[in-house]
Amino acid sequence: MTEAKPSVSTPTPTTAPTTVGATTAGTPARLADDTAQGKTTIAASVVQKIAGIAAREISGVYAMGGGVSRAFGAIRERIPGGGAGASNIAGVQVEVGEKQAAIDLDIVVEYGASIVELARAVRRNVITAVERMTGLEVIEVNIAVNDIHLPEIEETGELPVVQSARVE
Amino acid sequence: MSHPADPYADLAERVAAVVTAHPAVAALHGGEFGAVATYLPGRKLVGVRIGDGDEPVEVGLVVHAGHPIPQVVRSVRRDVSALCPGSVVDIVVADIVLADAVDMS
Repeated sequence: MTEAKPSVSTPTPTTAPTTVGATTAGTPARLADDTAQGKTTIAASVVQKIAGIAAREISGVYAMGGGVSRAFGAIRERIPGGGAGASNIAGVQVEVGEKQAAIDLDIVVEYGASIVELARAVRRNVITAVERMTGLEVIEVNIAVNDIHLPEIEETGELPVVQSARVE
Repeated sequence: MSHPADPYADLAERVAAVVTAHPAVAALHGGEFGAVATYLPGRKLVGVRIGDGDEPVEVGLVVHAGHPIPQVVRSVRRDVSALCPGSVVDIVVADIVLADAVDMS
C-alpha cells in the first residue's frame, strides 16, 4: 500500500538537546521534520479524527465501527466532555510512530455499493487526508467491513412479514 | 512572590498570546497529562511551558481542521522562536476541532 511520494527523508542533523522523557513522554507521534529547532508531536486522536472524517466522506460508507464501538460512541456523544468528536473516532484505530502511521478502520457499508471499490476509495481518501494534514506517511490502511446497511428495513421499521402459510 | 516583571511569566504570557493569535490554532492544550503548563501566582497557564536553561520551550495546541499541520507548526514555531531566540521550541498538536461540528452542536 505504499505509494510513490516526494521523498521526505531529510536526514535529521544532530538531535537537539532535550530533557529525556520530560517533554513528550508517552505521546505517540512525532513529525518527520524534527529539526534542531524543536520536536513536533501529533497526538493519536488527531490522526484518528482525520482518518474517520476522510472515511465518512466517501458515499457508500454508512457508519463506522463495530456494534459495540458504535453503541459506545452514541453514549459518549451525550456525555459532556466526552467530546463532540467522539463519533468521528468510532471504528478508527491508529498506531502512530515517529514518521509513519498505520490505520485500522471498521466500516458499515450501504447495500448496493461495491465493497471492493468502496474500500479502495476509502483507503485512497484516508491516505491522502492524513498525509496532507499531518505530514505522516501512512504505511497501511486496513479496512474491515463489519456490516451492511439495508435501507428498506429501517424505513418500515419492522421486520419483513414471515410467510407462515404459503399453501393452504 | 509575584514580581511585577517576572521574566518567565511575562514570556509565557507573550508566547500564549502569539500562539492563540494564529488563525489555525483553536486553543492551547496541556498535552497528554496536562504537563505543558506554566504555574503563575494564583493561576495556571495551560499550554505553554518555558524551560529552564537549555530546556525547550513547550507549546501544546489544538488546531482547526483544514489546515495542514506541518505548515501550522512551522509558522507557530517561527512566531514563538522570535520571542525566545535561541531556544528549542517543542510543539504538541494535541487535538483537532472541526468547524462544522461545532456549528452543528
